[in-house]
Amino acid sequence: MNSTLNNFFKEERKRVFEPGPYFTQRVMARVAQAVPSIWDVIPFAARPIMALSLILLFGVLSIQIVLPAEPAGTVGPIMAVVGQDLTQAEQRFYLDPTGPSDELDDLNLLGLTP
Amino acid sequence: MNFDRELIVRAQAGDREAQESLVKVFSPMVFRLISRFFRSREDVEDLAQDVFVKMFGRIDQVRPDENFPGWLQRVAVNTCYDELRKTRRRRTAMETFGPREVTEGIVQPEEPKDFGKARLALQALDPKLRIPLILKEVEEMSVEEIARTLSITETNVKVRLFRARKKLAASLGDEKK
Repeated sequence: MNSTLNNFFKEERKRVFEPGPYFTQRVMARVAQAVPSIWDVIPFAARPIMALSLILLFGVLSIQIVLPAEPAGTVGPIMAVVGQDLTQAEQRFYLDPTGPSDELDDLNLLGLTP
Repeated sequence: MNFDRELIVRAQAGDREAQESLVKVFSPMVFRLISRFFRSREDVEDLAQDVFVKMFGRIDQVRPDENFPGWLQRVAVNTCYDELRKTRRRRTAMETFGPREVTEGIVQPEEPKDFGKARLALQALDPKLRIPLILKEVEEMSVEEIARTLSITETNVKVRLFRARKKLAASLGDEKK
């Protein structure tokens, strides 16, 4: 390293600020004002676990928001396509939510209507 | 550094007197360290306050038997690093070409012209390179101490020192051309 830099660093060593007479009081006042955040309450070792849990929670919530559950009683995408070829009676039979239960359907198909 | 380790235990329990004593004992060290990176007294005092607020915020993590001054140095250097990154571009111009600070009880010797160029070159360095270089050349820390303070490997410290010196020499060489 050249001599200018060496002399510069030597001069820099002399440049030191000392704390003022009221520095301690100022620090203590700031410490008293400091409001602890939620992260300060959680122990240090538990913070990564807490962070991971929050990420997972928000992940699940966002998936639920983006992909809403299919409402009951509506025709799904497959049945909407297949349903075009069905007759009105077949549509009522397969798609009508107010129609007979699955067990009755099975019995009807097998010709064993009670 | 000699200090009563009992102070840490008492400060952890919330003893205000012990907390004040910790500030009084360690403030000269924190001020000296921050002075290496900032030239304005106000900046140094503000950052020193931040360091102690952080210290009390995390004092529960400190074990009384561990190297408390070393831990505090790490907090101070990290605080300086964050601040340098935030204000790097804005401050470079002001600190180099702005008005000289009037500081209490400190004699500012008339410095040669070359020092201004050296300071400019140093301030233009990335804080990642600048901090290890200042710790080595001005604070006279060993490579091992720098590695511990910055939480990086000794090899990494050596690489950063090499790059910092190379860049500094290049920018000073360019000035001379």
